[in-house]
Amino acid sequence: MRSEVAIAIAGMALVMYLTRIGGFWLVGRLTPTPRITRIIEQLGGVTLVALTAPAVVNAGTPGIIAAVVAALTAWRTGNLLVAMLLAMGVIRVLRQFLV
Amino acid sequence: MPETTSEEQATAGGVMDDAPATFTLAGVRFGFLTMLPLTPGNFAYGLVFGVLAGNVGLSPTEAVVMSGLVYSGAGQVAAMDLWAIPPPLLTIWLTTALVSLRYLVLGAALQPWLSKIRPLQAYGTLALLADQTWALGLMEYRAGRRDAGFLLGGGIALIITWVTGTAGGFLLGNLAPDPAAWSLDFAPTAIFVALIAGIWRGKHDAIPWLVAALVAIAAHQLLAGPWYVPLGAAAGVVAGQFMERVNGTENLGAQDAQ
Repeated sequence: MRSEVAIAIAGMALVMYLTRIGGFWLVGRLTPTPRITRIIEQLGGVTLVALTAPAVVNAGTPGIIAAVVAALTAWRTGNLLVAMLLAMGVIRVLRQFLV
Repeated sequence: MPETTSEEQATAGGVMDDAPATFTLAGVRFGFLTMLPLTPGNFAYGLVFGVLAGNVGLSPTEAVVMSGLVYSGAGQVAAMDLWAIPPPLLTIWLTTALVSLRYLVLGAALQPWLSKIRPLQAYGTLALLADQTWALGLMEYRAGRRDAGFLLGGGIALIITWVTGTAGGFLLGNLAPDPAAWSLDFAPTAIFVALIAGIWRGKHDAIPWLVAALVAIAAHQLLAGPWYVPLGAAAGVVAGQFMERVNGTENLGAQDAQ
């Protein structure tokens, strides 16, 4: 392995570990009010939504339809694998017809 | 998932409560098994990263070591966009930090759970924290189960498939596949949508999530880089807080309004 690549990877790994433990560490040192507690709970959900929504829209109409299928399947059945496979099947088929 | 959660077990008080937590091998095993159905998608994501890494000139060893130590899909894919030899270290590290800021939030939300196990177990478990383990863990916690080994077990399943997927991407890369041809490119997105649906709690999530989605989509169009994640999340929380003020949501809303 090239040394400059090793340094880049080591730095990325350190950054990742610090962000993974940082929130846990920080909240352990504070005594959050009930309001802060609810904001933290809410942040988890909206963060994943913010991460995912642009990827769905970028996949165009097939992506949006496949995402709706995935969401409804996961919500109704609780089976995430089936939801994922259905969505992949749907987008595969739709991409043949919609561009 | 192997076990269904019973409604009456779901705690009315939400995520925060004082129930004791455990950390057992059985929990690790259960977390691993619960995550298994999601690992094909993670493997596919690993393939995509392996192909990208090969395209920018990483060696198979370098890419596999990166996946094992960094263990972040979004962070590593973003780094491949910026990659050069010699690598622009500061830019890569800052981008990694920005992409992974959300982990601060996810880790903070786990505090009531992980603070009740030994620090070494907690900090070890957090090393493998991923969006998927967090979302499945939240479902587990809401079902009334408090074995934090669940989070570690899910992380183990993910890192194994992430690393093997990366290696597989190099083998595939020689065949020069277009990930879109197999819809592999959509696999991570499909998983995240399913996970998000899994942590949906009801109507009062609707407005904050919609605002978060719209702001993230707009920011993604207008700004370079991964700023859309913190911006969308912040907008969603502001919307959620606003809704609580307007509705005086549930038991706590009223006394919080100043």
